[in-house]
Amino acid sequence: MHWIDTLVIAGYLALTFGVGIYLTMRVKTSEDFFLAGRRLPFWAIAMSLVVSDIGALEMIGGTGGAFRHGIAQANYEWIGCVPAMIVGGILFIPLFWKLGIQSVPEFLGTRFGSLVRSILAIVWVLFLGAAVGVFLQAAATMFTSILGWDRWFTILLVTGLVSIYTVGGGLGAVVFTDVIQCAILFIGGLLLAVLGLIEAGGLRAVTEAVPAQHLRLLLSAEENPDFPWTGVLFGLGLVLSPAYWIGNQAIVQRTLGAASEWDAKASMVFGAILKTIVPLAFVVPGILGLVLITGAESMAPDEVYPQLIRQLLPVGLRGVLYAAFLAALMSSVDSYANSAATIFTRDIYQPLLGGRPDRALVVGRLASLGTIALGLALGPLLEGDIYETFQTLLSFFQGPTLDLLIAGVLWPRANRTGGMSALALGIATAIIAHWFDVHFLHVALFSMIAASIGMVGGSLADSESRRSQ
Amino acid sequence: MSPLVGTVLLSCGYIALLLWALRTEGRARSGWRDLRWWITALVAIQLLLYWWF
Repeated sequence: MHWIDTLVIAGYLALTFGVGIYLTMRVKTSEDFFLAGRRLPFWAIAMSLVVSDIGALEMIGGTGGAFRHGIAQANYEWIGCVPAMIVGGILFIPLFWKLGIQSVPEFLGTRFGSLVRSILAIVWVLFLGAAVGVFLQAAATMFTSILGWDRWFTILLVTGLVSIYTVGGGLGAVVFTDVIQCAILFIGGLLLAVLGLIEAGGLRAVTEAVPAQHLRLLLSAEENPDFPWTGVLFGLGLVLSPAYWIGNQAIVQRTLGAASEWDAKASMVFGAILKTIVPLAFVVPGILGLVLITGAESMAPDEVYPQLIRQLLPVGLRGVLYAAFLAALMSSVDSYANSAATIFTRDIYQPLLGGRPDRALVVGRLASLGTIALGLALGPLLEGDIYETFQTLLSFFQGPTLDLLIAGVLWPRANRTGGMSALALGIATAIIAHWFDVHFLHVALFSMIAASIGMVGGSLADSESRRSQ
Repeated sequence: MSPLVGTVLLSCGYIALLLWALRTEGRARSGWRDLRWWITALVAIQLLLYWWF
């Protein structure tokens, strides 16, 4: 790597570290730590939401997906984010914000009892810790191949920096470092797309050169079994996406730290606007790869993005893109560590272990550090099949969790029996559908329908709760 | 099923979402802070994209 690129990366790391340390000094109470003192403006939350959702692997994988499938890859951003962010921003987030809760399991606990709260809290803490490990390991492999960095140097550099500002500064530090990371990610990605389009001879030249199917958003299962439009619309759009944008602690927690109810709402809607732009930075380069890379037919999709960086960008600008990779990794790790710490402190330490509220700040900081340490320890064990199994297990909870959230907010008669029935029936359906090799987008839809049946049946059958209401 | 059916269903869904969001949000703020403008622009862009491609 050229020394100018190294200098750009060092500059980015120094800026992130400086902002993180400055915000650490402003943390005095547990509310400062978990919710940034409820002072966050909408634009900072929106940028943080977007960059936390884009990991280093998604940058490479998203571009590779567009190289293989074309613009249909943008469905993950458009159908997979925009509608759910509008619904979340208008209906769910303002309610959560007004209730003053700090975690999603906390809300579900108030509606469906402590058992539902505890089950979901334990599942989420384990998943978030394991995910930190997988992010670190997979990204280290990527950095070794692209930058030639030593694997453990990358892991220790990222965890060292992230630990300092996440453990010290909590959500405020996470969000404002994410703002820097989001800016770098957009600048780098859009720069690559614009330079690529110029190099390819303009938009018309590209559309004439790539296969027609690469320029269609909705495809039938016969045209592309990876992107059946029924799965995209109903599985991704109606279930997985709302479950992520309304039920994922790493997402919801930022909005709970908003300065006002309007900021909480606007953060989701402004985030949706940014999400509309994201495919320009990561999908367009993937399609350009077909035109610009010689011998593209035989190239592995994940090699497209690094190859375009080497081919199109001069020294210095390459450093910006490499800094964007680091930014994407750091924003994911800091968000997940902070969210796991919040769930552990609010939903496990205090209600299950009888912890004292006045120790919440210390416990939260230790739990952030513990999550990163858990990720470091689990990472080498979780490569390949084990993590996929773990992620599949989490996906079994997505449909039922969304059902609990919707019923919890919209249906006053939903009760504890309904909540447990929804969880049990939804998970059982997901397991059976997965067993029969149903496409994962359809598994989400079926488990959601089953959970809804369980919710209605259980709530109506529990006459005692009905009378008490 | 044809992807055209998907585009039609998606459009109906987006229009329903827009009408619901405009009604629910109401006139909470004025000027650029009125979220109804943001949501209308977002839905219009989405419809344009899905009918274009």
